[in-house]
Amino acid sequence: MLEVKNLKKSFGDKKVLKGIDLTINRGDIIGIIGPSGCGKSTFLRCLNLLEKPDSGEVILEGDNLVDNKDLERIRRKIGMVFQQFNLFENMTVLDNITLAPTLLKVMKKGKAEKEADKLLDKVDLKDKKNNYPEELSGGQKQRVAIARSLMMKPEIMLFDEPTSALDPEMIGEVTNLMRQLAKEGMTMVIVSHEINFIKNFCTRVVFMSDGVIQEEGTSEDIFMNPKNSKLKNFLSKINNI
Amino acid sequence: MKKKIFILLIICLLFLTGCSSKKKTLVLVTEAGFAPYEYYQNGQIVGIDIDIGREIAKELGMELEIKDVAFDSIISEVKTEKSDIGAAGISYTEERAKEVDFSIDYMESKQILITKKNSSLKDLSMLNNQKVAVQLGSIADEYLTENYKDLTIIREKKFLAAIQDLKDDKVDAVAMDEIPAKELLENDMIILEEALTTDHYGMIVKKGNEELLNKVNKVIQRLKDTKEIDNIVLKHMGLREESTPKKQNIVDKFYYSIIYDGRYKYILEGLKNTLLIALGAVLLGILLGGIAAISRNIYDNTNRLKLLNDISKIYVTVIRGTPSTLQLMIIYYIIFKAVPVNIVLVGILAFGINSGAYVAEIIRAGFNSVPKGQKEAGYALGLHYWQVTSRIVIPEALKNILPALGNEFITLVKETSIGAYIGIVELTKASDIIASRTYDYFFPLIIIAMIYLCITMILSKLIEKMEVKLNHARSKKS
Repeated sequence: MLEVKNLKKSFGDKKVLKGIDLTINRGDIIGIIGPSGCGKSTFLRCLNLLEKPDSGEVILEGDNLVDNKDLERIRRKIGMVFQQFNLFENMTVLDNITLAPTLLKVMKKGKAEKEADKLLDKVDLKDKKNNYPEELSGGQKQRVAIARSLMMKPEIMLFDEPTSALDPEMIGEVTNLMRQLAKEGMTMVIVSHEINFIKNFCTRVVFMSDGVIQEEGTSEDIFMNPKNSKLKNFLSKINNI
Repeated sequence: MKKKIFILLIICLLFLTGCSSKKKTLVLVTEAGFAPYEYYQNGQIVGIDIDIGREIAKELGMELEIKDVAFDSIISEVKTEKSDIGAAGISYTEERAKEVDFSIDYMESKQILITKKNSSLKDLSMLNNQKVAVQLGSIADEYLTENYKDLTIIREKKFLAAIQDLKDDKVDAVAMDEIPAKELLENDMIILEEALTTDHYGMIVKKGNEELLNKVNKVIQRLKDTKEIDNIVLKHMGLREESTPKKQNIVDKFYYSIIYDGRYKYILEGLKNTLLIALGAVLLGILLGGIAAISRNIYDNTNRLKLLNDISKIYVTVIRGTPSTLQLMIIYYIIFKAVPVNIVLVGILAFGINSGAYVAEIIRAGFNSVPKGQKEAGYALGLHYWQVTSRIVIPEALKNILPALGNEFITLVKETSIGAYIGIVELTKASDIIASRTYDYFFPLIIIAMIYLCITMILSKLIEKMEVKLNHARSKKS
């Protein structure tokens, strides 16, 4: 459903992505791992054009997002969850969730609020709907952020280090929610440092280093039978901790 | 279409200009703080120059209109035809004669020195190495600068400030015109007998306006021939004791500064204009600053509106990089050169344009203070630039913008005091008018300072309330 072709991106002189190709199929749960600064977050942000690639294509169901005049309409189909949650600080939980669908006239206000209630129930935060983000814990914020994305009924969701800013005891509540989404058949792309979570949760794993995909395969391929020397090196460092 | 509007605008301008040249009034420009030549009485500007001006108007069969501006602005007023005649005890100098045409002289004035009675400075031969206060740009200033190289010359904006320096023993003497000096002499002061120099007062008209100049000369000659001019001078001399006694306690000072001769009316007028200009300028400033900030934000985020972005950048750079007094005078004397226009409106325009540049930067900084992630979350949901800006960036930026904006408005209220340059009677000018009648420079200033303080304190409170409201809306809604 999502196809990436020869994606390149530089920041000034620094080449971050040096030509990436990847095909994502419906129902895939793809984990992206790699050393810090290898470009995995940049790659993820290129998938919904938050970062504009220098060249290459990002094609969602036949539409190329790069230089697309109707980019905003396509973005609705791509949910995104950020490391820092990025809830709208000036709005209540309910307003955070209903803003986009009502502004974009996807739903009427009443319908949006009903839908929001359902989703808040799902992420177990029904009692917080009139609170402001600053009154929530990290885990609660991230669950609101996920609910906010789900309102637009996305076909694919991007997770950019969704648990990195959380206290350890809150990681579970977010990963559990992600597992539930997976069960419902959501297509996901996850950048994370939680190697164990990636290993157990993802159907496919992509290892990036130096701006290119060094190796990709099933979780078992990557973690049990790594072939690429950089991947081996990376895994040995992690296992030493 | 645009061309048509432009042509229409030009025609309107020409029409306005045409009207102004056919007017039935003679505009005399002066600085009314120079008794007995020109001063305020019962809210009217009167004096020797004004009486002569009235005779000239009569000769021309026109109404006389009097305009009160800063002395520095009088030549510009005449040069740009904002006024027809300048009459403010203006001494003839070669330099001034290059800018405007002088009439024949109607008065001879000696430049003299005022000292304290107990001063060791007794005559001009002893004048060196002392400190002498003068009014900036006056004949006394020019003369002393030219001829007494060892003197320390303190140049004050008003000669009343120079007198205040002498009262406070900050200087050894004040150099100024003899006739106003007699009016403001305190009991412990004397005028040295020997004059520094003698100069001649003339009226000024725009260079080349011989028709008017001839009429002015004719009237002055007639007044001199018939000795009428001596009567005019006598009429305006010796009014000091009546209008303001020299010995005063604090209650007297209050009485003569505020109540006597309805002087509070100057303050009320000043207060009205100060508030009017500040309010108008604030609104215009927010409008211009908002447009500039938003067009820059649009360009930074979407690469659109490059021209407006560039204009905004230049606007902010130019306005922030030049003194506001200069901007005010450029707008009045150059841009509105040939157009009759309400000066309060010019004040609103000038201060509004000035403030807008600062507001633009305040708003821009506020926009930039919103974390990038907030915008990205909006874009990721499929919102457009304008939806993100209006629903997320602006509301969040507001809480950073508001305190800085409040600060800017408080500055603006105080800055309106330079409006006097083009003749706006705002608070500071009101205090100058009163001081020119009471010969007490400080007391009205203190009253005005207290009024400014009250205005800014009320403003601060209002802003504080808005801030609290803004924060409450967030944390107390639940």
